[in-house]
Amino acid sequence: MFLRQILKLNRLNQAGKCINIVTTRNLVNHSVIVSTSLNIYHNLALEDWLFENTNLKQESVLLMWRDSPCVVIGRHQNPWVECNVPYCELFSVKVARRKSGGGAVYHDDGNVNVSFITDRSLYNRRANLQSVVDALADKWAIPLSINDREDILIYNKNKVSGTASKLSRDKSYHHFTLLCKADRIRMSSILHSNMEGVSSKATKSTPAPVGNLSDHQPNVDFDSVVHVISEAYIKDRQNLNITNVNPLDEIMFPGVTKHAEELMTWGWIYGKTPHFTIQRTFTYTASDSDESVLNVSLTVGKGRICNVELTTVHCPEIDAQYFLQLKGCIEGIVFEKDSVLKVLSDVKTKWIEGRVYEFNTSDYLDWVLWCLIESTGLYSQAGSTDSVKDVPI
Amino acid sequence: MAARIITKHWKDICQIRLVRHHRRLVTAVVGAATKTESQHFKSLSLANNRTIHTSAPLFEVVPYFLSDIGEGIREVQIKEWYVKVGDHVNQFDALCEVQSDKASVTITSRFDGTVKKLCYDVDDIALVGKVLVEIDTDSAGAEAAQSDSIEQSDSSSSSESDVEASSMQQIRGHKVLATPAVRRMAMENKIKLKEVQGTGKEGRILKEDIIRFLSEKQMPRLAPPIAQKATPTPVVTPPRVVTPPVIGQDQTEPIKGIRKAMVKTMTAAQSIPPFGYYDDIDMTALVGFRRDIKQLALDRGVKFSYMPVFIKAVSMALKYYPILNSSVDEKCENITYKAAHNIGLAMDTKDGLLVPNIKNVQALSIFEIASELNRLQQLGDAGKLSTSDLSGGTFSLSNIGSIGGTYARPVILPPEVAIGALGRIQALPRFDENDKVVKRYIMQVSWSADHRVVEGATMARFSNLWKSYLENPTSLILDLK
Repeated sequence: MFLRQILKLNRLNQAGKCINIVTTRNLVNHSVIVSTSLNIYHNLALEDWLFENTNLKQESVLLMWRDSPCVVIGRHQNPWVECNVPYCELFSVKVARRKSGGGAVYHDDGNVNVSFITDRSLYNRRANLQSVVDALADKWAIPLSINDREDILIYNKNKVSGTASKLSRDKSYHHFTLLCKADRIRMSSILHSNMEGVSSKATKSTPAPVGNLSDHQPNVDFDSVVHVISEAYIKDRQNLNITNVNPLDEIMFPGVTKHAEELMTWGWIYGKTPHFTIQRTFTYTASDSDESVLNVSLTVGKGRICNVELTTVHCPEIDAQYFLQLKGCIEGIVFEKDSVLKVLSDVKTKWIEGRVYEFNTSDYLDWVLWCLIESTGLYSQAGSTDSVKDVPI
Repeated sequence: MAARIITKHWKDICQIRLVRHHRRLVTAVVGAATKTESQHFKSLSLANNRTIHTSAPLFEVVPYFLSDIGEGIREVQIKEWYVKVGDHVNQFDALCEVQSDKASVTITSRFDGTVKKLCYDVDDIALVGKVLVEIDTDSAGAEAAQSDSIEQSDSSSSSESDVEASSMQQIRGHKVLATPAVRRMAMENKIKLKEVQGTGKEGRILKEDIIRFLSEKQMPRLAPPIAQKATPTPVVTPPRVVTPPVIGQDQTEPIKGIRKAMVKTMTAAQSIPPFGYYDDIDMTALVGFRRDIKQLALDRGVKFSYMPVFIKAVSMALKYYPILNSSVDEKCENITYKAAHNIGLAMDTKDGLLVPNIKNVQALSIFEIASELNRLQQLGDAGKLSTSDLSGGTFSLSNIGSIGGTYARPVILPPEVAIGALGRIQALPRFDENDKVVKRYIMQVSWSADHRVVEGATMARFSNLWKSYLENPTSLILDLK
């Protein structure tokens, strides 16, 4: 009896894996939810809420949404390395950290986010991707394929989708992006970081050439893609019921606001970055003295600068205690542009009061402060600042 | 393909049926090192319907194995611990977050207890089927278990890791691999598993080992009576040999890491029929050469020794005898004459024997070889040699003389065909042209080569050429490219 069941299931399963005998796909209800919000934090909060609170033994959910321009990094990534944080701050591009692993992606309203929230036993990334690829091919004949990294490629070349997932004891979700009409130029400039000298064990993104579904089929847009994928999911056109929701609806999703608040905190987005170190070397050539070299080494943990090491070679006659003072002030501050600038301004004030900052040392000290700002990489949005004078201290 | 899946799953199904039969079963699967073991065990259990459990119930600290995540994933990276040693966890509390292949997985606890030990740090790679964390369970008689999904037979690849997990046991930190049947046998015969030498896979103790151990225990009892009978009445009583008591105990540990790699390489090298060629080199001229060069090199920041000269001389001689810089495939059907002279240096590091190589010696000057050698030595001391440094070698040298010794018989490292071992430079008396005894610095060299492709005459001529370069450093300069 067992053998026959196994044989039947093996034939049914296209992905080549044995489905659990206990929970098969057809025994759970399928529902489709589409979010009306364009706020990434709200949408991620909704996804988390559904993941935690739905009874996935009876129901599987397909959630889809799109966002206004934002960058979403993986759970264990370093935002400063994955995207251009100063640029994002300047142009109001939100930076969000999701709870699943994987790499950094850029979302805008030309991108559809698809999330399959299911019971752990039904977790099957390839099957999900295959059903979407088949649906899109059936409707628009777009030549799509899935590679071994589980990216969806168009023309076997350009990536139109990146996948990530989250697993817990009995639940899972698999979500992926689907680029329909995304702004690729903006994407590449945002996902390019200017930070140098970083060494960290955070998950690194794998860059790949990207494409859009609209490259092949200009008619593709959010609503039509949602409709096509939902049809493939529900499989019963008569009962196709897509529920449009407001993700912050406390009546439908009690407690979702708390999720959203957590995702918006600085401590989650930036503070959860794994420990990393920045190491930079700067050379200073004054007109009348030797070359002076400064090595800056910053260690950032939990979003704060926890250690600063400054090593100088051939520096002018300045007592080491002032450097120690600088080090003491910087250590422990939040790794964020405003706090760094504020602290360095305070240090400069102290130096002026302590008569260290004199006419013969002012250039050098300004340069030291500039090196520190440069090392953090928080200030420049388009490459290094050209000169020391640009720094507003 | 279907047939393979069926048999694999049939095994899973069989094992799950065993679970349902035996409620107190520790883990769902029972491991077996050999087929006979598993058959023996199956017949034992199904026929007698007895409860099967490992000795784990005796311990309260339960090792908690990392179960299969699915999709054939064998290892994950620990990203964050949610608990620390001493924390109390309840069933289904999150223990840690791991990441594999873009999936972020939360591992939860299966029972209540206090965290005793975290077996990995953040960013370590955790292996599926190995212990993840040790939990001091609240209830005595709790059994060693795996984190969930064991009752769900969803993953096709879970059987192997389960097999591994169940037969592993931590007794006072010393891993002893044995199946429950073997353990019962040992318990019945009052044998400590630690004392038995395992001959199965990875040092696993088999039934035969127990039997052998038992028979060996009988043997010592026979020895004393024979010895007593053998004492005759000689004129001179032989001195009484007092056998000192054995202090300490035999310790068996699995061979792993670099030593394991060495086992593999040397076992492969056994198939090569080597021949040896030994010679003495008069190093007197080179000793003078080094005296002059030493300061010059130090000024440039590089510590100079003879090795760079030896290496360069080898490369220059290899130009005339390219067969010694070749490589044969396993079946010895094809020979590849390698263009690059990547000369390997046997290095004794704290991790074991490593042979990093210097690439393209034919294109490097002696000074460049010296700096490269320095770099490799520093990396070797720090244990940071990269795979590119350690692979791609075409010829090897071993400077065993730096530790001591004269002649040696080095083992060829496949897929190379030749290797040289350099002895210690000793000051020895020799006769000069006027039959006077003079002090000469002599170094012995021992070459080994693969006699399937290298003739003795070739090796001899190569050695002579190399020797001539070293005995007359000026000839080295003449042929230097």
